Amino acid sequence: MTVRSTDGPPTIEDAARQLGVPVVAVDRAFGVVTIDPKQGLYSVQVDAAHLPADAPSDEFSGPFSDPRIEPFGPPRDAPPPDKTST
Amino acid sequence: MPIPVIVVVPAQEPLRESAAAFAEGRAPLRDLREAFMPSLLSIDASAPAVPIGTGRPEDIGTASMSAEQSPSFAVRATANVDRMEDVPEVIDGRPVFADPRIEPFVTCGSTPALGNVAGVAAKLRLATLTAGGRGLDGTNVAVAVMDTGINFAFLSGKVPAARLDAANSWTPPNGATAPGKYPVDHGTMCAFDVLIAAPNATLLDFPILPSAVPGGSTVGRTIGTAMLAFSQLFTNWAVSFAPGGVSKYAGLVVSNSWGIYHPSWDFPAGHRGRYIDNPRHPFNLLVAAMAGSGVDIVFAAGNCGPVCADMRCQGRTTQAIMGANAHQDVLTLGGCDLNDAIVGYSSQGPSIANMFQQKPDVAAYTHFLGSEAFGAGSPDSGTSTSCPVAAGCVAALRTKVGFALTPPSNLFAQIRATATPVPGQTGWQADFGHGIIDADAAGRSLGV
Repeated sequence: MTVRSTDGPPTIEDAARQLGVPVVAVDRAFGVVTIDPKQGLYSVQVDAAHLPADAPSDEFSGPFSDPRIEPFGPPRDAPPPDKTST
Repeated sequence: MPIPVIVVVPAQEPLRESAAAFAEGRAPLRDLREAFMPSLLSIDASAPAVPIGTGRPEDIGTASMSAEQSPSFAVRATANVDRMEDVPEVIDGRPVFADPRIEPFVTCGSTPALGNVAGVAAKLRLATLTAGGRGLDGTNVAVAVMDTGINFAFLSGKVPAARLDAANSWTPPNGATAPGKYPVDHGTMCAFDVLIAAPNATLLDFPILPSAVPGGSTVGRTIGTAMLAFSQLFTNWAVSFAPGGVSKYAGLVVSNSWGIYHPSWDFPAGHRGRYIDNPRHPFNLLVAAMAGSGVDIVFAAGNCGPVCADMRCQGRTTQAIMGANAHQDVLTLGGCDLNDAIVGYSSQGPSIANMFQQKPDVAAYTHFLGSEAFGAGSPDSGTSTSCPVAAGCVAALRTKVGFALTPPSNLFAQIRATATPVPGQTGWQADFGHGIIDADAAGRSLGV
């Protein structure tokens, strides 16, 4: 989730308040991550189960995905197509 | 359906003239179609006749196979039959042979190494970057390798002058491994490849790709890990200005040989929180902010090329360049081998919808004998390799090209403008982008 602050990075508690979630729902290990200080944008990781049912989902606040990433190498060749004949 | 064939026929004047003209590099004085051909066959007048002597191995020799003396000629023709199976073996007493299609052997994942580091250095003309005091070697430029971690002992054994700034490197939350002490793996390969073009650059170890560490941390191989690492580096570079921090360097390059292989790894299409096609995802916003602060961010295009895509691509080879790899503000690298042929696994553009379309920007070399991080004789491969090779080129340029006067967008524009086009290339194309990176030409265009 993305949160905003004009006075530097918000605290975990500030972020939780902004998002309407309990403080325990915000991952302290992840912390408050600076995205763009000029725009006052910061990011936190939140347990989706704690998001309010009526929480607005917009393109600026989130929730955003956290997909898996992997290295681009060495390439793993796909197996050849099955040539079993009938 | 006409079937291409090769037929051996006795010598005739039009055939001798065709062969002689081709050997002499001139236009033939007679039409090849004047030659008498067996029935069912139509001669291919666009292909010269080839003298083949008597067709017996014991008669092979330069004299008997000349245009003037050869008693027989091989001629390309088409057989006017419906199926390949219907082509006779002999027509009017003349033997008919196959003329099958041939294709180049494209470099794929299991292909052995093609060339080595010396070959890469020669192709990139790296010696010119430092000749005559030009000094484009990465001195006082930091390159952050966002990867599996670097094994500096292994790297130093290969590159004795390698430098690692452990103090400005990064350890994930709850991580127990010190910078430079990671197992020899993908990250060590990438670090090695950075130093090909920028031997005096200083490496920063940013291990975003190891598996989740003990302690219940949510940190793992996800975009969230990359965000933590990028944000730490960004803060160090452009916010905190701590003494001895990363801001002491004349330039900062970030090399990223990773990405998303398939959309199924992300939120479904249409979800506003999706990453791969969403410039407003916080990671993509962070990339834009860092680029705006003068950081040169380089990404691999990916290994979902149309000829031999990685199995993790699940057969999807279009719109395969996604997420930050397709970001407008980064330099995205395709991969080519030392024959200047695009490697079969290099992801091709255009990018996924809603991201910058003309990716990759350029191509750089891969699939050569380099670090041997994966074992003796194993190639440094994937666009994972072409990315740090290019990152090294960027670091070399940054030795003398300041980011204040020449921000990343301008530097990358010059890299694109001076890339070496492949034969027949006009403008951007899906595989090579704008061509093969040419650091020497880019430097000259920037006055260094």
